[in-house]
Amino acid sequence: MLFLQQLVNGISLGAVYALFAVGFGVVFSTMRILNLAQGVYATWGALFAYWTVTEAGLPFAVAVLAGAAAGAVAAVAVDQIAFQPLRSRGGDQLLGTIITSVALWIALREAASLATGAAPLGFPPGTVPDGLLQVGGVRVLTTQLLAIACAVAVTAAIHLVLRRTRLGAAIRAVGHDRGAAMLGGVDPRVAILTAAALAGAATGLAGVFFAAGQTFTFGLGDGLLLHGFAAVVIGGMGDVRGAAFGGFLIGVIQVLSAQYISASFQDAITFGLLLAVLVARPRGLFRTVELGRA
Amino acid sequence: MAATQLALLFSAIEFALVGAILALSTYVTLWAGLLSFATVSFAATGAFTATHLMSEAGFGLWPALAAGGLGGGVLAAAAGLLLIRLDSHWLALATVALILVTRVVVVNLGDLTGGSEGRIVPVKVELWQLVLVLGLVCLFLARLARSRFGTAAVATREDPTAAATMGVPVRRVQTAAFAISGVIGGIGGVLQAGLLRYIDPDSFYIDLAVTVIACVVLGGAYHWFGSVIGAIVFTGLPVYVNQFIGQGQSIINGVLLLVIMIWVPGGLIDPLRWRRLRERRSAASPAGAAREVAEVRS
Repeated sequence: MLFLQQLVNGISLGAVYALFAVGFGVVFSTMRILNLAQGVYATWGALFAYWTVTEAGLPFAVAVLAGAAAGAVAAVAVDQIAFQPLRSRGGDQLLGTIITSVALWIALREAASLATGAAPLGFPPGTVPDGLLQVGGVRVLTTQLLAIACAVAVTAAIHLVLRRTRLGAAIRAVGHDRGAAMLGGVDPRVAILTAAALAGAATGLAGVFFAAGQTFTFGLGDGLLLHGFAAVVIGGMGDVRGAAFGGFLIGVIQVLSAQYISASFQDAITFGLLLAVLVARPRGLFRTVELGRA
Repeated sequence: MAATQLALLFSAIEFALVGAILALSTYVTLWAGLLSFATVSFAATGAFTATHLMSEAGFGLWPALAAGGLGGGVLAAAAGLLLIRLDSHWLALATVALILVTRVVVVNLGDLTGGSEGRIVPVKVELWQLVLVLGLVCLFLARLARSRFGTAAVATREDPTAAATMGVPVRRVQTAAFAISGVIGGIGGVLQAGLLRYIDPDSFYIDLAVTVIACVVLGGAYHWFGSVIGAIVFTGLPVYVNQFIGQGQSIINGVLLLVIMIWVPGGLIDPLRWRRLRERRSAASPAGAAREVAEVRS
């Protein structure tokens, strides 16, 4: 029974990582950017959701939407400020975009620290749904269910957008070869902004659900960045379903290894697995076929 | 007041010198066309190896530096052999993963590293020792730049396929660059430990990795001197300027990074831009053009 209970806890923690990993994977696979500023989208998403509840007194559902919107706005702003100038210059942008994403990571993190006075925050009791579901002795919180449902829905939605719509095809085309996509009549700006906004919204949601279950500070995004990063590498970035699976896997591994092995080995197992996957299967557990990239 | 100012200035210079050594470690991998964050892992290996030997076996600074350099070099060679076959984006990810794993190992090897409580470093590093070591590293890299390895590394960075066609052993050059980076990184780690006087798992983590990369790229990734300038600007200056600015210092750092990256993409030290400027100037005067021809022939 303890095992089942911890499995549920692991899956709900994994839902948060999955949301983050999906956002990270969309940006990495369509824009070839290693975006270290991704964690602060989650921080700002959580902060806006918190303010929606405490300052504006609106219900949690609105706060969730506000968090997603804040993440999307942050992602689009970071893209336009930090990545667009380098993109328009052309050439290999990997190194440059790493530096500019670090720049905005540092700046937005400090801004969050100033905005909160570096104090730990928490959603006041009663503002977050506090229902409890008993399924044969296993206790499931409503927020846990919400997080899991949200992660599955967002992953499915982004997957469908990328694979089934014209806009998604445009996003993938720009990621594959910008010049050829433009020749084919795709406006790269629209495609890139959509991808950034989708990634930001998913990351903002990750921040909200991560913050809903505990007290948090302006450093919330940093831990999420490292674990989400592990999830996305393990699951593979070519496909958002792989990234989401990686997120759930990391969540389950973290909780179960803390329960059955030792809390101090929790990160050792996660990051050890990360390195092993990188060495053995560099494209992730679910390798997608990539054609035409040297 | 004047005394504290002087002490702060000295401490800023000391951190800048060590920062320069760490930046040079990263520069060597970029030289061979590999983007690696792993310098921090090499530094951690060097620092914890040396600190253990200094407190348990009574090593002095110089033997500890040798041991730290060796430790960093061994880890780098092993990591290089495993990771170099990944292509650029994945190599960058893998080296970030290496930093995460290194921290976990440091936390869990409590007997050797002090675990999460960290460890006091028994040996103090003097300014002249830092200057000497940085001088030696620069001298070594300047010599290396003129060697066959330097030429091969540049060729590998610019176009690995073309370099391989011309008979450059690309994989071997990159592995060698990784190993050299490891030795320099290990030495830098020992010196950093000697400056901090106390190290724990967080002394060598993502924030240091980010600073080091920023030093290299903004200083100029195409000449070893760029890393030194970058380190002075991005590790030395903040230590000194901290006293004047209270809150929001990181915002200024971030904006500075962004502005330099967008408006000075080649970094502060950019030999290519200088050559273009020189060529433009000499094209204007016929005498200059003649000199240019002579330079090319020599």
